[in-house]
Amino acid sequence: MLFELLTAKYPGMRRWLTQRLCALSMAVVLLLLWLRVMCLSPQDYSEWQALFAPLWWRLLSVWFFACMLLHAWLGVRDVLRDYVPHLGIRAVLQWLVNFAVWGNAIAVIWILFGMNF
Amino acid sequence: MMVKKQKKQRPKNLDLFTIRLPVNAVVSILHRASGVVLFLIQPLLLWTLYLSLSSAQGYAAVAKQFQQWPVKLLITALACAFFHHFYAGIRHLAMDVHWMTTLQKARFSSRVVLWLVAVTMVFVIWVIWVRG
Repeated sequence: MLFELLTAKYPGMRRWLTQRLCALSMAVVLLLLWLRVMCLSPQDYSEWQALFAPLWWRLLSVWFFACMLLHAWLGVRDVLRDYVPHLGIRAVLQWLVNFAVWGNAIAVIWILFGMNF
Repeated sequence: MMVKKQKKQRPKNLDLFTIRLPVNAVVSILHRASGVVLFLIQPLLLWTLYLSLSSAQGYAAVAKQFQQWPVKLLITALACAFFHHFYAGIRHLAMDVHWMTTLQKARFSSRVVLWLVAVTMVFVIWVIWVRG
């Protein structure tokens, strides 16, 4: 039964679990990122750049932002479903939210992998 | 007849100034509100990250902005939203695995969340406003 709840038959259950796993993952990764920032405590631009230089750091950051965007998208989706009863207005707002989430995702990839610093 | 009269005399209280949410409801709605705030501020934070990494001038511009008091105030408010969302989120995760779900324990854990936010914010305010 427990595994059946996670099949495509119960999409709400899947979304619920995804949001929780993203939350847990973010909490752990954020602690790691924060510890490294505290250890190196960058004081100027070159040290700030050096913090973002290692590939594993960028990958971990991308993972963090991916979890955050997915978690936020699911959360805002629930908020809209709870507080915006008018389907047309809700659809427009949801479209704007989706647009913002994809925009942020592209920005994250571009900042971490697209810039030459 | 008697029943009808009693129904009419039943007290109604819709005065928003006297209705009080229980502490666990307060923590729950603030978790939602802080989540929305953090979502809305994301583009600004990503823009700041971009600017700080783009060049030495960009980094200096961000560092200079962080000295302005309105910006400090915004960071303080966002820290409050973040730490509330973080601690209350851990509480919700605990409840998802059926930990501290009785009313009494839920009230207790709500107070713990609010106290943790308060203590963390004292530290955050010290870092941002006193230490500079």
